[in-house]
This record gives sequence, C-alpha cells and structure tokens, in this order.
Amino acid sequence: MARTFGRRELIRGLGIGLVAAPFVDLLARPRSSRAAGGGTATRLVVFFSPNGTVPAHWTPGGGEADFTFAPGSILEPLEEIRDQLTIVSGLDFFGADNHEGGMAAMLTAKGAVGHESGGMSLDQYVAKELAAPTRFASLELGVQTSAWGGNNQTRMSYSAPGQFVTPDDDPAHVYSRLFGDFVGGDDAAAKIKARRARVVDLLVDEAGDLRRRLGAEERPKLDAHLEALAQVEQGLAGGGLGCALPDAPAALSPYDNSAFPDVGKVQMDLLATALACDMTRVASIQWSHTVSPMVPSWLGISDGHHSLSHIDDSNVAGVANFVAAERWFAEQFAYFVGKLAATPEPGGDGTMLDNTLVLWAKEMGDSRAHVCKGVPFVLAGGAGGYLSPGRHLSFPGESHGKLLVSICQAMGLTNESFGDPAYGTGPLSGLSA
Amino acid sequence: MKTMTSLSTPPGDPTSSRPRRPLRGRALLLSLGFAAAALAGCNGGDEDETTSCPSDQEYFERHVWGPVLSTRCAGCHNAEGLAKDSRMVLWGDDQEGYIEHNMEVTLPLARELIGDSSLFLLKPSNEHADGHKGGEILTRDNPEFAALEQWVARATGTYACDEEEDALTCDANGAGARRVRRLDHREYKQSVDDLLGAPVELGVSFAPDNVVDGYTNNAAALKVSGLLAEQYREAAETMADVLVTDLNSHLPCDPVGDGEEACAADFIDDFGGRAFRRPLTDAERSRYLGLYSEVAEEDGFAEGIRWTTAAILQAPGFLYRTELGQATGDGNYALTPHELASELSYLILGAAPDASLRALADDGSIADPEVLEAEAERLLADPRAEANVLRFADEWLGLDRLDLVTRDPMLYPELDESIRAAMKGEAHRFVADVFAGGGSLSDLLTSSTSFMTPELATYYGQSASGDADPEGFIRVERSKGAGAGILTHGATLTTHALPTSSSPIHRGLLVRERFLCQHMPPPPPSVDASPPPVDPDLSTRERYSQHSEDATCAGCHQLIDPLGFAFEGFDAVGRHRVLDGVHPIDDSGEILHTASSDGTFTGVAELAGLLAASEEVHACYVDQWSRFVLGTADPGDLACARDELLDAFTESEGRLDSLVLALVRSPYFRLRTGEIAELPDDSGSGSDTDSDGSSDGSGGSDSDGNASDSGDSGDSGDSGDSGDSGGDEPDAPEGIEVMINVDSMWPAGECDTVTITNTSGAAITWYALLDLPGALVNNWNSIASAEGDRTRFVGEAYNASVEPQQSTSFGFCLEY
Repeated sequence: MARTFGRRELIRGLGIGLVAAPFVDLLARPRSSRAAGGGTATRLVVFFSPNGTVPAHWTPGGGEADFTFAPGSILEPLEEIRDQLTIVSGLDFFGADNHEGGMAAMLTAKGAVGHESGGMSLDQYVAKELAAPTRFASLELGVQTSAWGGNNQTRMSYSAPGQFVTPDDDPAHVYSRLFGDFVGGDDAAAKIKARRARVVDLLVDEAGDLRRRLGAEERPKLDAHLEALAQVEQGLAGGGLGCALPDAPAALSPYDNSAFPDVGKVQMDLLATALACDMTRVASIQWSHTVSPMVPSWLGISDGHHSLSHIDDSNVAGVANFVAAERWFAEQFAYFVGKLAATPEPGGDGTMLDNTLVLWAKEMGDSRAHVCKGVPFVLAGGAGGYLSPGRHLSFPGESHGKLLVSICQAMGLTNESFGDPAYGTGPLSGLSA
Repeated sequence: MKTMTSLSTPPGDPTSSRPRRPLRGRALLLSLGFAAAALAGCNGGDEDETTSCPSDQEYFERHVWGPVLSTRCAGCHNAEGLAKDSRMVLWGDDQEGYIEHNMEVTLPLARELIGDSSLFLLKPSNEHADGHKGGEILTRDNPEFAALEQWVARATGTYACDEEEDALTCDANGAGARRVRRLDHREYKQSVDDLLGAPVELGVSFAPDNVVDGYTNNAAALKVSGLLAEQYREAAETMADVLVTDLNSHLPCDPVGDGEEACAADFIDDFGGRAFRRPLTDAERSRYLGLYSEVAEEDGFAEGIRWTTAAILQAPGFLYRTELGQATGDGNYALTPHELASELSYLILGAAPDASLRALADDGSIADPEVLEAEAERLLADPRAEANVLRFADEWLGLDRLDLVTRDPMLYPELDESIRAAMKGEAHRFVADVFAGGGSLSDLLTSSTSFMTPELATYYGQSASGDADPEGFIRVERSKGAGAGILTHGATLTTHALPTSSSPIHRGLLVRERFLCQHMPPPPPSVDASPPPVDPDLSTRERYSQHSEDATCAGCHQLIDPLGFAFEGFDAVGRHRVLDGVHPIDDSGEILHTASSDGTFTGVAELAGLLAASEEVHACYVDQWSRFVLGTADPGDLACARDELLDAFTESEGRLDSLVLALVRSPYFRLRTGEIAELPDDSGSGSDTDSDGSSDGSGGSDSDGNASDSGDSGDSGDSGDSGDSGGDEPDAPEGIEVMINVDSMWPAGECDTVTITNTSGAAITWYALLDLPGALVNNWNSIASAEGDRTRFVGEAYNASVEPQQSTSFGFCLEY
C-alpha cells in the first residue's frame, strides 16, 4: 500500500490534476463548484453531425411553443420527440468561421488558458467539474471520424488548448472497453482488475523514470502518458457491472462507407447502455467530421457529404440530396433520444431522458457560405428540470458561448462564462425553465 | 547585432511593443516551402556574408509577401475582391511596383496598436474585436505568423537582426533535437511481430494518431491518450496470451532445470532487452521481477511470465524510442551504441534492431562510422526496407486513402475492390522499383515503366505481356501518351478526384502542396465555395474555369487549377481518356508563382517534366522525406539536417536512396541537443532515487550489457597524448602515423577510430601503443593486448601490413 501511495503522490506532484484529481480526491473533493438545489441534469451527451446546414430547410416555423416542422424539412423526423426538444437558433460563433474554425470553436467557444473553461471543450470541462464517481470521466464515441487521422478537421473535443481527445470509432473496442472485464463474471473481473492496477503501478514508475531523463520541452509527453495511466486506473476502479451485460456487437468494418449507418447504430446502442449502467455521466457521439467525405449511398446519393453541403440553390436536386442526408442525421438523433426516453431512470423516477441533456451540435451555420453565423443547435431532454422542452428559441447575434454556459449550469456547475469571455458571459436568458 | 532603423520609428509609445517570443523552432521559411529561399540553408542569407541582414524590402518580399500575403490574403485583399473596401488592398505581381506598394500598404497597419498587439497581427489571427471577415487565416502558433511579427517589429523599429538569423539558423551544429518518439502504429506492429517471432493479431485497432502535414509519425503529435493506453493494454494482454501458449519457445532458459525465478529473470533480461532495444537497468529489472514474483506466487510461473510480458509491452521503454544520447560535455548528447542501432533500424526498416545489429550494439562496434554505414547498406538491401519506403510514398502522396475514397458505382462500376488493390500494387511496385534500383526523383516523375496485373492492364487499355511476379504483376512499358510517372498512376489519380468526376482542384493541390511545398489556405468564408455542378453541356475544365473566374477565387485558384487541368486526360478512376463526356480534352496549363519553376505545359507528362527539372521540387522532396523520417515539422529542427541532405541529393542527381546514407553520416543522426534534464524536484520527495541513477546509466555504460566495475580507470586518461608515458618503445614503428578520432563520447565511455598511415616507401607491419583513458570494452580490425599502462594494437591478418603511402584503420570502445 505504501507503494501505491507514493505513486499517487507522484502523479499529484507532477501536476496531473485534471483527470487524476477525481480519482485521488473522490471523497474529499469539495463540491462547491456545483450549484445547490435541484433542477439539474445528471448526464450530458453531445451529438455531432458535420458540414453546417441550409437554414431555409432547417429552421422551424411557428412560434416558441407552437413551432412546426415543414414537410420535407431537415428537422421533420424529430416530430415524434417534439415535446422533448429545445431548439436554439440564431447563435453565432464569435471569432471563428469556416470548417476548421467552426470545428474548433463549436465546443470551446474559443477558450484559452486563463479563461474559466481553460480552453477545454464543453464535454471535457463538464466531466472535469462533475468529477463523477464513474468508471469513465467521459466517453467519446465516433462514427468514421478518424480515417484522416487526428487534426483540426476531425476532432471536436479538447482536454486543453490544442489537445484533442480522440473518439473511439470501433464498436468492438468500445464494447471490450466497457464490458470486457465482466464477461467472465464479477469475481474473475475483480482479479483481473487488481492485476491490471498492479501493472499500472509499475508503468507509472517507469514513466516517471523516463520523464526525469527529459528536458522541459519533452516532459509534457510523459505528463500526458501519466494522465492517461490515471484514466486507465479510474476505469479499473469500482465494483461489479451493476446492470445486465449486453451482447457483443456484430463484427463491422469501422471505416467502410456503407457500414456508416450500422456502425452509428451500434455506437448509439452501446452509449445508451453505458449511460444506463452509469459508466459515465458525460459522453459524445461524433458522426464523421467537418469536410466529411462520407457518401450517403444508402439513401441512393452518390456525392460526398462535404460536396453536398456546398451546393447552392440553383442546383435543386443537389440541395434536395443534402436535405435528405440531414434528415437522415435527424432520424439518428431521434433514435438515440427515443432510446433514452424509453429507458427508466435507474434507481429513480421517470426516464433517463428526463435527467439527461442531449445536445445536437454542428460546426457551421450556412454551409454554402462557410460561416459560423446562425449555427443551429437542438437540445433534447428535461435536464433534470433545468429545461422545459417543447420550445423553439431564437437568439440572433448572441454568442454560442452563452449556450455552453447554460448547459454547464444545467449540469449544476456555476461558471459564468465559457470560452473567451470577451464574446459574452452568463447563460442565455430565458432558456432555463 | 545591429538594430534595423531603415523604417522610421512610428509615433506613439515606443515601450508598448510587447516582448517577442523566442524564435527557435518557429522558423519562417520552409513551412511555406519557398524552397529557393530555403536552399540558402542554415545561413539563411547571402552566402558570402553570414552576418548580413536582409533589407526591409527583401524581407517583405521573401517572408511576408511571398509566403503569406500573396497566397493567403491577396485572394480577397485586392482591388476587386471581397476586401476591396478594407485598408489593405494589395497589388498583384503583374502590376509594376507591386512590392513597394504592398509594403507601404502594410506599414500603417503594422504600426497601429490595439491594446498591446498590432492590427496587422490581430486581423489574420481573427482576434480583432470586430472580427476578420476572412476568419482566422493564421493561428499564432503558425510559423508564418512569426514572419508577420517580424514585420511588425521592423515597422515599429523594435527589430534586431540577429534574432532573425537565429530563427533561420540551425543553432545546434547540426545535432538533432533531444526528444522521445512514441512508436507509431506501424512501428509498434512491426516491433511486436518481431518480438514474438511471427505476425500477431493485436485484437484491437488503435485510435488513429494526429496527422501533421499528412504524416502519421510526427513525434510531437504522438502521445498516449487514455483511450490509447487502454488499447495498448488490450493489445499487450493479447500478445502475452499468445506468448504463453507457446511459452517454451520464448524462454531463453529452462524453468525446471534453472529454477523458475532464475529463468524469469533471464526472460526479463532477454525479452525486455529486445523490447526496449537496450539492456534493462537494475531498477527496471527489479520492477519486472517484483511483478513476476507477486503473480507467480499466486498463480504459477506461466501466469507470472504472462503479466510480466503484458507489462513490458505497455512500458514507456517499449512504446517510446528514446534515442536521447549521453551528454558529451560540450552541450551535445551523443547516441549510445544501442541508440544508434535503434535509430538506424527504425529509420530504414521501421522496426527494432535485428540480432546482428543488436550484437554490434552490445559490443559497441556500431559506433564505428564504417560499421554503421555498412549496416545502413545492409538494411537498405533488406527486403523489409521496402515497406518503409512505400509508407512514405503513401503518406506523401495521400495514396493511403485509395481504399476509402468513394466513387459512384453507377458511373464507375469497373472500379471494384480488386482494381483498387491492383492500383495500389502498381504504385507500390513502381516506387519500390525506382528506390531499390537507385532511381531518382526524376524517374519517379517521368518513368514509363509500370507494373500491372492483366486485369489492371485491361482496365487501363494497356497491353501487358511477360512474366508475372507471384502476385500476378507484369512489368510494363506504358504506351506513349498513356501517362508516365507516379502522377499518372491510377492510385494517384483516383485518390485525387471526386465521387462523380475528376477534380482539377484536388490534383492541382497535390502538385502545389506535395511537390512545391506551398500550402494553400482554405477558401475564405462568405464566398460561394460550391463545387460546380456536373453539367453535360460543359467539360470539367469549363465548369471549373467559370467557377474560378470570380476575382475572389482567382487569387488562389490560379495557383491550383491550371496545375490540375494537366490531369484532364485522366478520369476520376485513373483511366486515360480522349474525351470528357462529349468534350475534347484541353490539358494545357501553367505553373505560376514559384521561385524558379514557372512555365507552361500541355498534359501531365510535360508538367511532370517541368517538376522533375525543378530545383524547388527537389528541395521540396527533401523536406517531405525529412518530415517523415525525422518525425518532425519543426522548421528549426529540420534545418539542422537539411544542408547535408540537400547536398547529397543534388550531388546524386536526385537519387532517392542517397538521402538515407547522407542522414546516417550526418551529425543529426549521431548527436542530440536540447535542454538538460533537471533533476527532480517537482516529482515528490525522494521516491525512486534508485531509478534516477539507473536511468542515467541506461544507455552507454551498458554497451556490453554490464554496468558494473566501470569507474576506476578514469584517472589514467588525463594525459591524452600517449607519447611519453610508459616504456621506451615508441607508440608506433617509424614511418607509421597514428591518428585518433573520437567518434562518440558519453560520460561513461567513448568509441574511437584510429587511422594508421604508412608514410614510408616500404610495407610496414604496424603496431600502435596507446595509453587509453579507460578500460577497453571491445575493438575491431585489430588485436589488442595490455602492455604496462599502455595497450598494444596490431592488425588482423588482413590489415597487419600497410603498403607504402596507404592506410588502414581500426577502432575500439572504452569504458571510463
């Protein structure tokens, strides 16, 4: 035990606070950063689909409560979950435009070191502040996000400025990561976990040795490695599964274009199960990435999504294809939200969706103009009472950083700004119930 | 150095300029690939005057206008563009006096301070309170941004020229940066396959790494995330399972006969030593033995080995290449023999050292430059070297996307999986053939030789006959007009096209970015960037030409599309065509805006000919290859190897394999420079003091696998000159001149090469009596024996005698 203690001291001493902290200080951690009282969500899920939108085909009609989806419009497939939605239109990303800029600003609002959110993305910031006693501080699932590797087009989650968090595109690996330990039963799982923790002990010592041989420029690599080991260790903590072990998903080829819908569905199912099993409270599912070359061939469309997204109105058939692709993403969103709505809240009242906030985010507004003005957002779920869904709200010209503040507050956090505060502080007024 | 004063100091508070950040590693040139300027190399300035400082106009033209304003800004900031009403309206290079005009336009903007930053910096970084209509053009960490900062410094009179010289200079005497390189996913796979003696299923696909400049092995980007750490664990446990299912074949010992604990220790030394590419330190050894013992006590020998294996395969010593060197005392670090072996093997094979290389590291002889070079030659001839060459080609040219690019199956039903595989096989065989045959960059661009399966030949409409290799590929001379060189391979053409048509933009960008090393910005926001819809009444060229007529687009697209039009004789799936639909092909075009390669052409063969003759393209290739093999995009670091590489490349007329040997001979390969690791300190009180000691010793002092009893002979070495000490006998026979060259030195030892030259008129059987400053670890090309305080070296049978006016050499390594 003395050995383990020494190692944790080492981690803490190295300044690996972000992820190690929830583990080290789980019980002692003061929760002052969470707002008192009820009306907050338990879980946050970010759902991303790429390449902006065509506002004319996205924006609902009608008013705040009596909003309508025009026949054939992008959001029409959400009709069945209409009462669970808070649709937010009109927000701008300040200081960002274009594919790459939008992708980077979408969940960070241009944050940097020194800002309240420290340049983290919404999901990473909330995960850190919540410090939930779950196996995973956050889970990042992807659907064909990484065929181009990691870069400013393919990543949306940031653990720090410039530090991408990589989504897992492979359902088979997601399954083994979430449930692999439990396949042999709880006792066997406990023994394996103890051994793995023992190996992590050793690896931390080894990484510390190598770190000491390096100059200051190179040490951050080993710091990142030590932080990764702390995350692994967090995943090894905890007892039994606490929910039914799901079946392993069928084998899929994660980067086969025609498998895109199947991979996506399995990832959504795994994510819903992980949430139901309380393996994490914060998650994201990222469908492809900005400038996505994905071809919606299963819809009979043969152009790539990025090309489709830039087609102007003179090409009516082309725009119709883009709208069809966007409607397909709306169907996926409805499926995932519907799944949470159909799952009772574990150990509580109502459904999981009641206590969850699902955010459908995009990286641009009108894709034909490459601009991040009027970027569309769809929120789903009751967020534990923070939201009163069934509304469409428009905030023309407001910074989307305020929406991110609202979401943090929905999660019970008390930060007053998200991202660069020069673009605005405080939550969106009128969004909360 | 001198401070520039040729630009008058602006009005206003002179103290308001903020301190500049250090410039090392943020250099200005090659990121943008203005290769002609870069050819000036480490001196960065006029050859005959190393202290020269470019004039403001030279600086503006070369660093501000050329790489930044002309490509990234002038598209909008021109008299007709989107930014025609802004305060920065630039003239194009077709207007008389454009440099002077553009320089004048930028000066007031550079001097306008908002807060503590210049307007000229706030706008392109999109940090201005009113935003920048063009969005973020440059991030502050972009090396090009440094050029703008320098320009502001010149404009505001806060500029000292020596800083710029620093930025452009390799200030490390050619030594490489002292860093760790995490194994990339391919190196990892190759390394574990070699460790286990056979290709092994990892059971998990690793999270793709961050890509820098198209390369997946950039050392700065290769980190271990939480996700990857879990995947490493999963793979390591899978491989440990594989190992224990055939345990005896992996043990260097017999657990029954030798005892389990002793055998486990042997296994840890053997397997761990191969995994870490060096002998384990004492601290490491005891850690793994501790893990083994804990597990074995509960679950027996095999389980103990299993978990020990799983730990070794997740250890930093395995996952990171740690060619960090040992301090030489002059600010550099020299690679140890084991580090040299590892560096060489990963450079050429993308794999850990094999048994013979390990032996040369164990006895230290790899430190002998001749041995090192001979090993480089051996590895280059090894069939395994091909995979690394192909990997570079794939990433350089984007061919790795061939499996993934989507084509409309209604339009291109012939492009099935087997054709794609054959295209990849064609490109790979071609590249491998050029490389292995001592071919050049020009051959790569222009050779009409290719390799096709009969099926692929039919697909291209090419006749192919002759002997096929085991995979069915036949060497083919492509018929005239059907394309030549890598640019016209199906793999290249198909990866650079759209689902429903060819793409002059993708193909033009390939040439501009990967052969001319000029990076193009994305289209600015607020312009209509929709691709021209397919229109049967227009050819692809006509659609794109119309599309780019708009002045806002033309600024950039004139640099892209005319290159891409060269490829219009090939469709979206790599087939030669004479009609685009019903339209005749026009594949004429022009190379614009290069330092020395501008010119017109018709068709891709002529374009390839221009590229093959271009100095810029050669410099670009060297840069691309360097980024890949050195795993860095840091211009300051790249500059340290560039001169040697460019010289060798030029001298060999672009021979591709010349770069490998040039690098191996260079100081960059053997030496490292970097901050000295500071000791501890921030890492918690006093734990692990043992590991500090051992980590220092993890390299050189272990060169014979044994770190003991090294210390005491140090005193005897001070005399250095071996002449007078010891007996009466002279250090060498009359007529023999002895020259000692220290090849590498580290705190615990050194390796030297000694050259024996016969200056007389008759053959001499030589000897050399040397007073060595340490204990002899090993020697080669000689036989050594102790003789008092000195060591007598005589030749082996083959070099014992030196002919008149000839020389021979031998070498040795010492431990102090």
